[in-house]
Amino acid sequence: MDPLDIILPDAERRQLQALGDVLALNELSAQFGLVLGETEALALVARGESALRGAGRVSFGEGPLRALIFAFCDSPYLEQKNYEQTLAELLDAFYYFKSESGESLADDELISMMRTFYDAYEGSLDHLFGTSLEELARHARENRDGGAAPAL
Amino acid sequence: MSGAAHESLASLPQAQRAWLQKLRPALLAQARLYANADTDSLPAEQMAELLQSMLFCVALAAGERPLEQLLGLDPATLFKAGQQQSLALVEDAKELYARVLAARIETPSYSFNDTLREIGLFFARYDAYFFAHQIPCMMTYPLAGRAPGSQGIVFIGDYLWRFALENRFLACFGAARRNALLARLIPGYAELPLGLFEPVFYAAAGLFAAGQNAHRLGDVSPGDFARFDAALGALHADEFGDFLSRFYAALGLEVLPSEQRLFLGALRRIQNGIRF
Repeated sequence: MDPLDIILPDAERRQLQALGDVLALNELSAQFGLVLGETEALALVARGESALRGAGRVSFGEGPLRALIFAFCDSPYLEQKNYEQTLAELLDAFYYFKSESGESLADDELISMMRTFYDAYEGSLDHLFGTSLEELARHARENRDGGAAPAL
Repeated sequence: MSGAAHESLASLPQAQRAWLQKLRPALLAQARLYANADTDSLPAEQMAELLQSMLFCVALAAGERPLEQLLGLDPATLFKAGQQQSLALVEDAKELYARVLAARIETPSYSFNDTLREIGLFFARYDAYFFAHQIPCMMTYPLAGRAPGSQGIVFIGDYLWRFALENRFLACFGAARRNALLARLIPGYAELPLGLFEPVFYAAAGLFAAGQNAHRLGDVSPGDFARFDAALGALHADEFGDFLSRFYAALGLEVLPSEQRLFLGALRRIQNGIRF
């Protein structure tokens, strides 16, 4: 048994905490026509746990779901009909790029880059998954500096 | 942590698991400090290393306390105390390292010289706050006897202490004679990761036991081994102390009681047929 399993809070407790946090954000996202039901929120929390484990990581905080909702809920390309699915894929993308970055990117920085990229390609998750971390970073930098989005 | 250690953790009695769980806030705080508020997740291996470092510090502060007494103490407090102890040990080891460097013998042994250089890098890389159990350098020079099972700065401190003692012994002989002996006994020794203490001890103790001048290492060849084995093998275990006292005196070497075990161990190994 890994000593971490003895010491760290169990996933179930963490998920309950995360569920409350996510549902509380409905108040904000509802302004943009986006709401998560308890079942959907629970599924997303579980997806986040699974993506975390898949990336070989251990969480000591609330996880990225709340930050992703906060960062993406005002995107014009996010709709209620694909809200849960998009958040699920964003969670996967977050942990994928997090592992790729070798700890060189802060969570907020990565989420901001993902949002910029997502909007630049009109909400295309295929583009997001098809890009590299370098491309993502370059795009965010050029976009921030007022340049045009590079063609992939 | 080894597989056996994992199993023993799994079978820990509830009281001990609960005690270990008291480290949780400190571990989370360590993770946050390490992540520098940039993230709220870390690779599992990195998190495990942070925890190992904390357990190392806890063990350091716990010392030889019996388990029952330990369970009455707060592990997070022990962790902080152990962290301070490792910082103090770093300073002690740096002083010892400076003394070792100043007294180092002249030798073409690559692993001897490279290991000393690497220990210098250890001090530049060692992180007592987050990875106190790690030994961030490559040490290829083997010392005589059993390697300690310790970690981090405790290992380095112990290694330097033993290195200094072996070096003091080797310094009793002129570099030319010592190097000539080693070249004759172990061709190509300078390029090999071999300890210098044991062959030199074997030859010097063999000469002395055979009634010759222990300093005349330059005259020794493998042809002398049978004579040395016979002379050293004739010693009874209860004569070791007296033999070594006379041997040290002949070499002009001062050995503290706590340092005696290095030489006793070398004698025992020779009697068990392990020359070097």
